[in-house]
Amino acid sequence: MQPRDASQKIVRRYLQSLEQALRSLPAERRAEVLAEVRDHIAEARRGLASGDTAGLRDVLARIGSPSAIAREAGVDVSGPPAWQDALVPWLLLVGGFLLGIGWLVGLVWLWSSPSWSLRDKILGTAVWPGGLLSVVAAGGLAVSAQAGVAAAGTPSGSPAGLWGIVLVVVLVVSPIVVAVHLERTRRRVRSVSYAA
Amino acid sequence: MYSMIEEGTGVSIGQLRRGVAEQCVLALLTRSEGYGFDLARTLVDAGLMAGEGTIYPLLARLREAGLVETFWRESSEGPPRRYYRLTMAGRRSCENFKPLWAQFRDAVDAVLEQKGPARHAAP
Repeated sequence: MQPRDASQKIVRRYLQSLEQALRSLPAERRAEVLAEVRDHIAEARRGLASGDTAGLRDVLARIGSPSAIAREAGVDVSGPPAWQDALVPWLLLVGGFLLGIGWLVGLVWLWSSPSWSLRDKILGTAVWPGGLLSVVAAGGLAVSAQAGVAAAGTPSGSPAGLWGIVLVVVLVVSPIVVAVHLERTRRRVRSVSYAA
Repeated sequence: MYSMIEEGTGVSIGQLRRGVAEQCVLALLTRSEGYGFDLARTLVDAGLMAGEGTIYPLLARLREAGLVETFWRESSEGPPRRYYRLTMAGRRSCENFKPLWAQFRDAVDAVLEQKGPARHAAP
């Protein structure tokens, strides 16, 4: 990624976190604060070289965390405890193995937390319901269906085998990617330092 | 009336700052008109605000309270900037605050140094 694109990405993510932190404000006030902070960032960046991401992080650190600005704006940032938010991505991923209720708990905490946007909440819910437990269960069904088919005498080594492997990889990797994404987005609202 | 300290089980620097920061912004504006970026930098450098971004909700509050008014000014360096100036009410608030702060500061100092109230000289 070009250094300048990396900078734009960092700024965009900061402003997205800020928008998320301010979402309980009336639309006009929220838009106003966002616009002013955006202009503030632009002005503070004027002294920086275009690829200077370290300098940009300093600028954002000086501006402060989205939750600090939200607190000043009167938003109640108390929210759920940090450890509860921290568990959400992993409960969604593997909580299903805890008698199934682990995933449900993760789901409830996901939706009741201010740490994620609506889009991220939908993503966390849809990919996949039940988490990896569902993948394992579906895999179990597929294997027993395959065994049934083989017993009926159809030729083995069908091309379905390769696609089956690809499908399994996608099914397993997708919720892991989503869990990592949720984890990283969570941190951005509460703190100022974060990976691009 | 102005509440400087939040009710609670203790006072942090953050709480002190938040109560006083608004009055400091007003005080800065008594000298000249200013815009958010500048005001924020000054206050953070002075240790009176934790993050520069918090100036914007603060200024919005002052605007709503009728203590400042805003206007736009063209800038040679970029897009127009939003400037702030005191209203009459803002000026009055600033003047009222100074003796209050002095009283408060002296009272805290006295307690911290564990001096009693000034005693009259004994004959």
